[in-house]
Amino acid sequence: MLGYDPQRMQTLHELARAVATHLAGARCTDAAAEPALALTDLVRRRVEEQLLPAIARITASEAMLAWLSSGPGIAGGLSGAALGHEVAERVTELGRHLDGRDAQEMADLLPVAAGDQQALATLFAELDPGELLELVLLIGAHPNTDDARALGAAARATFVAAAEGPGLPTGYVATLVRRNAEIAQEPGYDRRAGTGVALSYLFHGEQLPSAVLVEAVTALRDVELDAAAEWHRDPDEVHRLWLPRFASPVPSYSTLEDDFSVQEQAEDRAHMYGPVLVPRDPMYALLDQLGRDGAAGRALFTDPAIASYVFGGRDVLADGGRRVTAAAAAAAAGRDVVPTAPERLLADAAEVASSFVNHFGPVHGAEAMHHTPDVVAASVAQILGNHMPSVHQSLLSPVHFNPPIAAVAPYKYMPFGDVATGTRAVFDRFALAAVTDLAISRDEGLATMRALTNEYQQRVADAAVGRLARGDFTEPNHALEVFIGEAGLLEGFLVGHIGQHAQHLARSRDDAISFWFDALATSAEAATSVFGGRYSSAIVGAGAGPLADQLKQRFADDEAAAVAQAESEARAAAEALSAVWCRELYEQRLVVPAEMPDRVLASGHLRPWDELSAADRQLVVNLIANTKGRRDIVLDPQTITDQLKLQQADYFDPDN
Amino acid sequence: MPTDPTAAELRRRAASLRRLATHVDGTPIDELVRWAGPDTWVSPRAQQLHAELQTDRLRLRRAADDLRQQAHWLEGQADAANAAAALQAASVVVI
Repeated sequence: MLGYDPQRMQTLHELARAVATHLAGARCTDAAAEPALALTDLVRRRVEEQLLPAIARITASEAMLAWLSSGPGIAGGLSGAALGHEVAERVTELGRHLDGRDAQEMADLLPVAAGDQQALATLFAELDPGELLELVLLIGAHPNTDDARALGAAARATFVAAAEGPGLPTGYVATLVRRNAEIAQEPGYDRRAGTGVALSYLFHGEQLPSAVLVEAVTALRDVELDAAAEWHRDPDEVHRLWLPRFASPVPSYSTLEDDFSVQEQAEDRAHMYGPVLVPRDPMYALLDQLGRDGAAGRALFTDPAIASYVFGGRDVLADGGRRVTAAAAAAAAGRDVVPTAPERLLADAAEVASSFVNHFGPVHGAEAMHHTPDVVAASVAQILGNHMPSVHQSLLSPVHFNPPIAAVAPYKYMPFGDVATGTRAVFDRFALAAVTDLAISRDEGLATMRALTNEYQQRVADAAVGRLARGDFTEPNHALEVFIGEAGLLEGFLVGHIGQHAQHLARSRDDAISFWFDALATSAEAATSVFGGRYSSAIVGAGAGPLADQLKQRFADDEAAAVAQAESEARAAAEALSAVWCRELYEQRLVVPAEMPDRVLASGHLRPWDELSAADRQLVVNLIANTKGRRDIVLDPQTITDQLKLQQADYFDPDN
Repeated sequence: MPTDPTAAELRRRAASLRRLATHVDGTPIDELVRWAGPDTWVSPRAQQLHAELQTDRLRLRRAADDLRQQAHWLEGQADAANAAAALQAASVVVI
């Protein structure tokens, strides 16, 4: 112990007690809560069995009181630039040797500097990035002791504090990455075996500023491509730069590797390099950070060179793809991607969505399907769902890019008006199909896709009926048929992929399809989902194209069965869509049957579908279908079915 | 209104997971982390405990997010169960 503030220690003690008491109150009998409860128990025990006793030991011993008004005794009263200079000197003096006493002293000294902005500025102005890297390498090679781990944590926290506070000198992070790559290619394997994990460790702590992440990822791409060119290797193998090149003996870097939890490493075993590579390949730690910083992701992934490299140019599947998809989701469909966001942000989000789909789909889609963690399906569904209008436009106007590129276009769709509203992503038809397969391959992703598609279908029906009611179309019944048919095209595309990959879901194919259409019908009762407002017409743009090849293959095998199946699925889709459109026609008073019974109404509005009996549901649809509305509008359910079959014919026709 | 007993059970489970998520989020660990830093005490052990608390804070946040994701999924299942029950109850095809 080198110093403490008695008054703050008292508060610390009270806070630790409060945390332990609060966590002890965590209760839930649901089996799904077990991991969370295990964690709350673990944290509570750490507080009770380690933190509180440590506080008690220290406050009980006056001999340990060494706090000085100008700072802890270890700094010798230094502060500001003098302190920063002192720390830089001592780190440099370590050279390439670190003993236990050095580790302890440095672990005490660095936090003092981390709390002093002027000291931080001086420290990083004087400490060459290479010296910082050498320090982390020394820590990694040091026996895995409490002192070494404490020094590692202190070094990283100081690095993060400098990045957040006074800021690192220009080019500091890029130099750090470049120096790391140089060491990784040095002769001998003792130091270079630790370079990957050393850099990963620095990026694996608290959140770094966006600018640091952008600089780091850009530099990482540059050094990896340089190395690949030098070795005449495929860029997809650049991760080998960070792997030890001798099977045995490989020096242990457990002091740093232990920072990546056992759980994190265990999750990654599906990939041949997974548990080895994730802590050693710095890209994963950076992607982890990007998963919490959508702005940094947009800054990076709107650069075609970076986006094509990260999404489709290098291996990012050692963790099953969880980090790269989370980073893409944060940038393309994160919490800040909302309708009220600035137009520039929404356009960038659309570009990232296009880039992710068009690059990731063809390169990684099929491989990722083999071991897709649930969170990957959820992230991909978040991207596609929030850009559903782009998906829809992609089906209506299919395109194919060879080679893959990211593309955006003005978003214009007739139900919403005759002029463009914002920017949409353009998805390559084949890439979209591959990424859609990923999204719907797990229940979590399927549910997200359904919820967001419901919102979109509701929005289209609402806007289209509004325009019909205003008399915007000279042939309203034809417009209605077209819009419903186009809505059916989207449903047909999605359900086709669901049926094809139902074996990945915790349900049979029929159940999966029933779920899909039943949930669409349900949307007629609950127009506002929990996702309300998470995407806007500005970001919701058109996308790439439908991807029917796999469906075609399925139906090519047995054309008669295929036709029968198409009939059945078109009918199910028609029923579900009828519910959505009937509600809109009635609610906007375009079609109002004279004899609508009171029991199906509440304050003049149709009751939620769930509240109606089956007979009443049928009655409502039949009444609306048999009533000529304003502007001579007539909803013909058979027309909906016919339109759906017509639209889906493109998928079901083996010759197409 | 939910009519399917399975849906009601799924919603009950979702609600209990959301309650736990709220409880986890309510842990005053942000303040604890703030006070456990070098402004309060300086030593290797203090540094290590501080770093572990920072990691725990992150894990608790993720755990709460996971609970909400799970709850959301259960609610989606409940919606689906309701819709399935309604359709099953319908003896005549609508169209």
